[in-house]
Amino acid sequence: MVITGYGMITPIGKNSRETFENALRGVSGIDFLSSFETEGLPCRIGGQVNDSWLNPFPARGLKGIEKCSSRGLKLMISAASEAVESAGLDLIENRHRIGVSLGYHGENPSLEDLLLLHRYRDKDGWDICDLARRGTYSFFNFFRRKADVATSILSSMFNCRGSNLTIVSACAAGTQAIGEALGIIREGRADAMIAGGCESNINFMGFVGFVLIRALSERYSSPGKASRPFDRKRNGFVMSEGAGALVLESLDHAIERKAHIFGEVLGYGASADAFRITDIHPKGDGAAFAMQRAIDDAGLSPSDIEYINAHGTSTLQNDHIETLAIKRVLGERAKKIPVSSNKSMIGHTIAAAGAIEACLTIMGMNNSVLLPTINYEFPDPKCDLDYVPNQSRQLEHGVALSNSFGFGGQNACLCLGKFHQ
Amino acid sequence: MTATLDSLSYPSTDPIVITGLGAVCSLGNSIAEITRGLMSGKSGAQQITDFDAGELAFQAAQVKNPPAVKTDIHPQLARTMGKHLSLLLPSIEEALDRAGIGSGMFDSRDIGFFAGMGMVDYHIEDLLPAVLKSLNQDGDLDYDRFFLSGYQEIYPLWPLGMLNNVAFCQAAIHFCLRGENCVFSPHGDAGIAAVSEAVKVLEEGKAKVALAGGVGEQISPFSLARARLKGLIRPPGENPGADIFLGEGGAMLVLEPLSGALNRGADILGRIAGFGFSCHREEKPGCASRRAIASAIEGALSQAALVPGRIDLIMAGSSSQNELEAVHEIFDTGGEAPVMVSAEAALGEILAAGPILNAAIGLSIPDSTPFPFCPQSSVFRLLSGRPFGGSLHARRILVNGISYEGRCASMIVEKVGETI
Repeated sequence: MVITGYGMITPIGKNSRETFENALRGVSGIDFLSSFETEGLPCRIGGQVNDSWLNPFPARGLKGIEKCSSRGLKLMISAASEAVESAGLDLIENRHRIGVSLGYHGENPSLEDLLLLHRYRDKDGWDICDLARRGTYSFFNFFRRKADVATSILSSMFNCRGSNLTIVSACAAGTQAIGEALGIIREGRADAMIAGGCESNINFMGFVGFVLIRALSERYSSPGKASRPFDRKRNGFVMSEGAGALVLESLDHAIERKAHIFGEVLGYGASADAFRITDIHPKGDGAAFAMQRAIDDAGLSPSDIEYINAHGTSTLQNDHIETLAIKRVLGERAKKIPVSSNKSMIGHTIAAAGAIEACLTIMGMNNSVLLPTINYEFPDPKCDLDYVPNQSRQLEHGVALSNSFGFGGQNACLCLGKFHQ
Repeated sequence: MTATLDSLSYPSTDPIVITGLGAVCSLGNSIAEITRGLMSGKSGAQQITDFDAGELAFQAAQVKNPPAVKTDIHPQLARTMGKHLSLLLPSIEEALDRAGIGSGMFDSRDIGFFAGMGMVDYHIEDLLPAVLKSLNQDGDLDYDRFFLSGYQEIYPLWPLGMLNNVAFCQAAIHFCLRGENCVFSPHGDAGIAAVSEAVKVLEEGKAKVALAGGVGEQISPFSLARARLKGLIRPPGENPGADIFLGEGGAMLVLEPLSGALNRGADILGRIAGFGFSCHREEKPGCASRRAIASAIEGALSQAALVPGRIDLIMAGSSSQNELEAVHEIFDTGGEAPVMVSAEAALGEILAAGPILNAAIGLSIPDSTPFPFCPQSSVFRLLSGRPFGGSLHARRILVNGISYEGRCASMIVEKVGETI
């Protein structure tokens, strides 16, 4: 299974090239938030995508669709447009053999929604009938909330009439979307799939939920220093937004149409912690199992793995347990294998993370470089692997894992490979 | 009961078979109860009494008393998961019981779990206290007050109410399901996608057994408003006799390779024969296009290596004209077209659970049971084929799942009862 196109939009770049080049230099995309009021919040930083980077909403005969489109979808349209263009997907004639697999969760309610809803609340509860009768709550609000609307719009926009999946597994969604697309092509149900994820929680209601559960970093000397995966002074993740998209194809199909091949998806594994909704399994059982499954699925052994793009969220729990899980899978080799976290620069883009990180992993392999984990200053004795601290590193490597672990305990891992002609 | 490999009609090294079924819907808390209800002509449609649905809808097929499955979940967290959890847990429990799978029989990492999970909605009561605390004397929002302190009144775990995967993860915890998994959202096609992914994982040997199915939406002011605004349901009294109403339900299948099922002496309830998927939306009437639905059906027939004439029963996934036209296009080939029915008149539109429940019902109705299909039936509304009053020998059943955003999926299940 090969990758013939990719695209992304992140706080450090309007496309994959810009994102990769900035990541290579260790540029942080984290700053004080400007898109909503953060006064009084214990965390006031995040990773925002510059509005001017978003593609103008394409017409493509989709009149009125923009109103249904959440910011997450708009980000995805930018990433998917880049991926589709680089893959030359428009040149494929049989559109029924092209599908879409998207990890996404839909748009959060806005404060304005709450104000409106408040007006229809009385002592007996919430009077939605009155709300519906007056027509003041837009039809389109419901549609921006529905994640599958985004997938269907993408399908329409890029004329993909094959399998169409919307995957809602929190932070694992982007990786699962790629894994499921891989399976669909392997089964022969599609020739090509657009797969990836998108998310935008950089709005008050989306953000405040994570503030209230104290998941976000609250102690930082400057915004760019806040996301510090595997560092002893890490104290929470940094919320971010973005999108990543890959075009996957069977090798035969790609060769037949003479598509440029950027890399391979060698294997995929998923698992569930089945431990506690709000906690990761303390020994990393689920994470280790997903990694092992991806390696097995690729027909490889742990000794073949040369790099790991970590989930690496910068939370106390994740980074410690992910380290444990990597050691369980790689054994004695674990300390020799470079592991880095793109979230140190980009922040956590939730459903988009797995797709963005898969793209960056492939680009790293093709450029023989490991992207760094920035802000690594104070080693944590519990996190004792080679995290590629602060500086990118030249290294020829051809097989990598990319981890994503979702809230609730869903784990997913991709095994990616450099394509050899 | 045991089956043999050569008793199945299609070539396959190790077909994926159904060894367990479980469901909860307005007609009952088990497949047997639901089937009995349908055969006796019952409909689950009732007036909505939980809340004032007013002009949005007057009836729905709600699950009033889902069976209690004992869990140690904090009540507030359980409330966040809403009815999703209380529909999912008993469906899984029944399916596992039916399959004879008890705790410890399989390594938990060898059990896959895939589900289409219907839309979930945040709870307004989790959020509104923040607004109420921040109002000024004129009743307008004091933004300074809201951002400085009011927001702290928001229930911290409110975002979980918007995550379709939370009830799924809780079910994984409850039944210790640690294998390959995925959550799809939120319409009928999602339930079929879940079964398809489970089959793939079993065929690849990544799991020894898998649970796959779906759960629809909880009927709430939000879900009614969404369906009403979309035009899925009509206001009470408008176009009487053709009213579509929402239903609640969950349905789950236990799937495993035939060889594994035979080795452990499991009952073989059916076989998954094929799938097809497509996506193309028409502006009007705003659902999957005829061509997309036809493409999904053709895909399922092709994977099952079946010609249309070998399908005995079609369980419709929508009330759309597009689906009917797609079926006519494929099945009206000169011979006798299969009977096409909809159970929505009894069960309502159950979204992600719908096709799975339809498949379970189709597999559970004994061949010798007479039951009427007619256009006016309050149970099995005949959409295509000739009116039928005898017993239907429905060995191969095509179930469709149609999304109102353009996605569609078809699945063929095959009874193997006669050959075992």
